[in-house]
Amino acid sequence: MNPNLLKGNLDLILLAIIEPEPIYGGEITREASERTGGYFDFKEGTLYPALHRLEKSGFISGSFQYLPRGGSPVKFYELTESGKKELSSKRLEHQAFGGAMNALLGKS
Amino acid sequence: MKRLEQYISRATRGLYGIKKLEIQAELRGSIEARIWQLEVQGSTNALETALLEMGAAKTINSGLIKEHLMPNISKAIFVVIAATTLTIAGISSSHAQISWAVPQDKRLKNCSCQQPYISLKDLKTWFEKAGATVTESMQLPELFETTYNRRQLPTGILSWQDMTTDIKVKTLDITFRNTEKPYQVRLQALANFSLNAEEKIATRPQDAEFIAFQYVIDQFLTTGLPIQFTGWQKPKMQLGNLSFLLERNGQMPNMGILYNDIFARWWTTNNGRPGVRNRFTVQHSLSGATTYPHRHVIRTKDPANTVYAIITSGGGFRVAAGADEPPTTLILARTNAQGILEFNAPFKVLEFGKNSLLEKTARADAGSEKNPAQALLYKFTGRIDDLAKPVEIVLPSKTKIAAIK
Repeated sequence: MNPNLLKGNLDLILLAIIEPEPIYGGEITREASERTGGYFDFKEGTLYPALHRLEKSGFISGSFQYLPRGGSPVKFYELTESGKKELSSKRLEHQAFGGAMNALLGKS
Repeated sequence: MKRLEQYISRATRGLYGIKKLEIQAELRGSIEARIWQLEVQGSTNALETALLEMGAAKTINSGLIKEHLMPNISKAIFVVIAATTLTIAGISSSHAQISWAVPQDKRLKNCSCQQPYISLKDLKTWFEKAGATVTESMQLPELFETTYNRRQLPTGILSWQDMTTDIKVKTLDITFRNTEKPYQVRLQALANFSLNAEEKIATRPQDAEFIAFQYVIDQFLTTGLPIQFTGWQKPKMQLGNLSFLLERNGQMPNMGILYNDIFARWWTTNNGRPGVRNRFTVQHSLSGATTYPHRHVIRTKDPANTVYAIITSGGGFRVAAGADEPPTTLILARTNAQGILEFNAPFKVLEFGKNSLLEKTARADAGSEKNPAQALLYKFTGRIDDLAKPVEIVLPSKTKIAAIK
């Protein structure tokens, strides 16, 4: 897929994946890939800076938790209240844009 | 795991301070989790596969640098600084990290400590010697007045306290790293205070130097650190090996055990202050004796089999001020029916004044209306099975407990 398309929608993708329950970085990439049949296959290298940006913006909050298997702690992210609002707003924006594009492309 | 550490180091090169440690911990945790998953699936080269999935360390580094350094400086300055940082990173990175982990042989075992108080000065020295960064400050009283009066805990339990005026608090912020995760622990000691502004209690200047040992443990617990304390506390407190987190609601701990946001406190001699709804049912009065075995039933909104740790103590405010015996009983309790926590909380209350730091002439028995006993209620959010796992001790072993004379 065109990397620019992914870049432009990264925040929406991440917020949507994090929405249902707290999740950590590695799981986010796998979840994105699984839910889209492998269409979104981004490396974690692009993921962490984006997560940190969202965290800085206050849309998500991260906390370290220990998994039952033991080992090092894992940083789980969850949506904040403002993150939920942001996701909702981005969803509407995306739907409007998608609708407009469909209408346009369908006519051509 | 040298390969993993090299990868993490490359991915975070150029970052600095606590942020760097935190990102390193995040990467390490995520990669280790993936390695574990791959191994379970039968992979024979799980580490390499996990790193391959992550992508090139250089790419991660580039993204992280942009995110964490770029917003603060212009691009032109960034180029110069980044070049310099990358050049000297190999030399200076070992100095940038705070390394603090208690060696096995220095853990606090078989402690025969009888005195329950530690001086802040000693604590500061110990932690600094261990590599932690310790900063000392004096809190303004207004902070406590506005933030910590009555409020509802997420569990539905009402938490409240009476402190209103004339408070000065000395604060130690201890920053360190335990294995891989950065921590900050805040310890606070009362310099002076009053109860409802009606009962002034003077403290000697040197009293502010001492805090209850239990309070130190409590503050470490709230970070999620694994901890077991053996010694003058019986029975032992057995907590899971970092497989649970104590519930928090994002508030800063205040005034130690008395105002921590994860505890519930109740009066043991009556149903609470007039006009204040009390969620606890007191089954037996505690007044009139020095040892009070008693039974409480607390109605919560938690499901059955929720696990709690309860720390009881006598003496209300005076515990934190060092006037009374510290919390004497640590117990684990479970809900035995939907939403009801039932437990026996025997604790011994020393005669007030026996180990007192306070210059106070009036005497109030612990457990009385003026000097209520209290309990801290912790709800475990981890798995119940994890409680059986081995625990670690995280306090330095050479803890010389300062005797109060």
